Amino acid sequence: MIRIQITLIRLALLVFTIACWELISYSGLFYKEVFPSITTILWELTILLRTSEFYGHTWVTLFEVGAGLFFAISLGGVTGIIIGSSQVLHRGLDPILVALATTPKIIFFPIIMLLVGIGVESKIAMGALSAYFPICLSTAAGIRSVPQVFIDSAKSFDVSRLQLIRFIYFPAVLPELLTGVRLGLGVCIIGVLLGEIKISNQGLGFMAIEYYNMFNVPALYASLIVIFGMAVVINLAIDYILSKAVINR
Amino acid sequence: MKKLILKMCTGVCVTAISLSAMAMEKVSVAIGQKGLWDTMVTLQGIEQGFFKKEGLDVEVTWTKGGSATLQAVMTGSTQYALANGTLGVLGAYAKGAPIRIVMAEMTGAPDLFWYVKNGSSVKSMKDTGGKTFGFSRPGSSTHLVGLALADQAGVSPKMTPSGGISGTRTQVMSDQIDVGWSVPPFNLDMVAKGDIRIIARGSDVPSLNGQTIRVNVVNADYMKANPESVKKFVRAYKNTIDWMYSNTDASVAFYAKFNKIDEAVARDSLKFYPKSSLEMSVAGIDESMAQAIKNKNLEVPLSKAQLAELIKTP
Amino acid sequence: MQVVVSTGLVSELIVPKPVPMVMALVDMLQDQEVWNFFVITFASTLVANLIAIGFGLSVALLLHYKQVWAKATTPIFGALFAAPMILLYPIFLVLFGRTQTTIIAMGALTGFIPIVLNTVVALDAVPKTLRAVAKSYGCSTRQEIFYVVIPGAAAGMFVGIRLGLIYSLVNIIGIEFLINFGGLGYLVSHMYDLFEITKMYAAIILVITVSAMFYVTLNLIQARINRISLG
Repeated sequence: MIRIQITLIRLALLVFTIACWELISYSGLFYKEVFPSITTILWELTILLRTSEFYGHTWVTLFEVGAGLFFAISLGGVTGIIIGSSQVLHRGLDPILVALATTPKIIFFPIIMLLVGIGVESKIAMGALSAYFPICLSTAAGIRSVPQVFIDSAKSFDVSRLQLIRFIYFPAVLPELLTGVRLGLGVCIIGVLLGEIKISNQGLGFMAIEYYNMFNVPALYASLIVIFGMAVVINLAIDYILSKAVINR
Repeated sequence: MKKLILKMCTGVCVTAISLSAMAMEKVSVAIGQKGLWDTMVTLQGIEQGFFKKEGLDVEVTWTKGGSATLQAVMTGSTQYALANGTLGVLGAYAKGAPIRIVMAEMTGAPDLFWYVKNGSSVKSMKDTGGKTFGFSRPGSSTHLVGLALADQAGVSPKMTPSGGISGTRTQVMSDQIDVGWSVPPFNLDMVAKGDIRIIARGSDVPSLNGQTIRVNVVNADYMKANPESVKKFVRAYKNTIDWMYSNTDASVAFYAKFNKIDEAVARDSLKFYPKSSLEMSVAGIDESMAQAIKNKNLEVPLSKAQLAELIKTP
Repeated sequence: MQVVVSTGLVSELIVPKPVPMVMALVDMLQDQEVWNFFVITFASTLVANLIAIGFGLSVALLLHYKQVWAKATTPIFGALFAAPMILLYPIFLVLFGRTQTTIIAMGALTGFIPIVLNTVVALDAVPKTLRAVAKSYGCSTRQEIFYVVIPGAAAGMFVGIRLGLIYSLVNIIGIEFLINFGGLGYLVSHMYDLFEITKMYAAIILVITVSAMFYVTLNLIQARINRISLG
């Protein structure tokens, strides 16, 4: 009964939203071109999904996100383990990392462009920078929470630092690392898209801003629907995969 | 025997094609503002093979204009940066940027125009006193030309930074500002439909007609190492401009196709770009320096020696 | 930084020397125009969050008293929280133009969602015993909300307000940078446009410092509210 009520409420909200949108679109409250009707937007969406350009842009964005996340996990995981396993480093660097984590990463984009140029590398770097902080901070927190008795027991067996990391720290920190990856993926997607919006010739962010520049507002809405949909689907997929990975451990 | 000869010929052809591809020099170009008649010269040249004839394989990266274009050439990301504001280039050079001006890109501002909604009480620049008057951002050519137009008409409009062409259009059509700015081909469809009226153009200010407002630059280190290649690029660019104006049917058709606009609108755009505005020698550099100082791009004027080092036009 | 620039490993046009950068930062802190940018960003954030708090708390209260609505809409809010809301800025540019309204609207939107999500959780966590006692004294629903529920949920609500403020500030600075308009974000973009690389780095350090101070201040307020709630 509750499930039916929930479904009905969601349907009602959807219908209400569409009705309000159409009302505003035809009301003349806003300049007519900035509030196209839902049917116009959906039609543009079908056109967009039929162009080969769209898939080219999508592939570029996915590549940039994937590469950015790879670098973020590599650097963030390693530095997180190093920082987390040292009291001195943790006390010294944690406040700096937290300060940088709360800063909007897009302001670093000029530095990135100066360092690596304006090509696809700058978007990968932007994605990596955005994702690095949640991954590093989560990993360091995970390392800090490893029970001391595990470490003392391992050390009593005369294990090397590398063995300590491999057999004690890494398995213990994996859930936190995966949490960091979940958070990092979301901000990586945003970082890459913002980089493409600021300066690029390709990618979904570039495609959306091109429509804005050409004042093709229905296509702009259509491309944003696609981008949002993709971001939500990727986040849900990664959530599912990572939760399974944690359970199977 | 026949098969052997055929195989040999195929081999020779493939080798020749590979060698010719290897002989082509790869050159990358950053261009600000996609889709304008003047910024499309390079694409038109690639399409017509002028750069290929000079042995240049040109790759274009579009930017949104401003500093991003110049930064691309300063960091060596690209060899050339086209359609840069003269004031910005002077300022960057003064701060040590390794750039050289190889040609003027736009002299005068015939492409800029200002418009109002059709029902507006503003009929000409004289009616803009006290009205909100849009320009892209402080220090830009739209700002400078807008101020010059106001000075000339003896009025004091409320100069309002309205951002890009798209955002400006929204603000005009939703009555947030009275007068908006644009360049062709944008908004010419609305002029044709009668939704908006043009009230002023950059070419209305005679004093600006002899001033180069945008220039094309090359990375200084690249130019030092490849002077012949730079000459080839400049030659191909010039030949393209000559071709564009003597073959307007083809050049306008390409321009229309690229921008996905009607050919009629594309042809109207051409009226805003007399060939003289794409003249390659840099003009009015003293006026540009004075404006650069006023705009805080420069602290002091560049010396004759500095100008000689910076400007390397044919 | 000094070593990589002095040895020529990296050009000074890309990474400035630290000393001129610090001097530029000191100059900025003495520049009235920079303080104006600071005020613009902060004022935008505060106005955006007043709007977000007003709408957010109202919606959260409604959802708290209509549990089936909460069950239906909380996952939607959760999905929106993870969505790249900042990418909606071209839509707001189209609707409101390149104005402070666009920036405030974006700030309000990004602040609204964490406020709703956390406030619903905080309201649901108020012990039923307290409500039962309020009812036994004959309190009306309005009195129950203002004298029992909201004070009881204050700490949890402030978690949402704190997150809303942080997300708002981050998005507002980001949008100012992207559209070259407004306060601190515009300052960074403007320095980049003028090739004032040293000043650009100084502006970035200023933004980092402001964001960090904002975060720390909010954490301190949260700790105080938590103490009052428990005490």
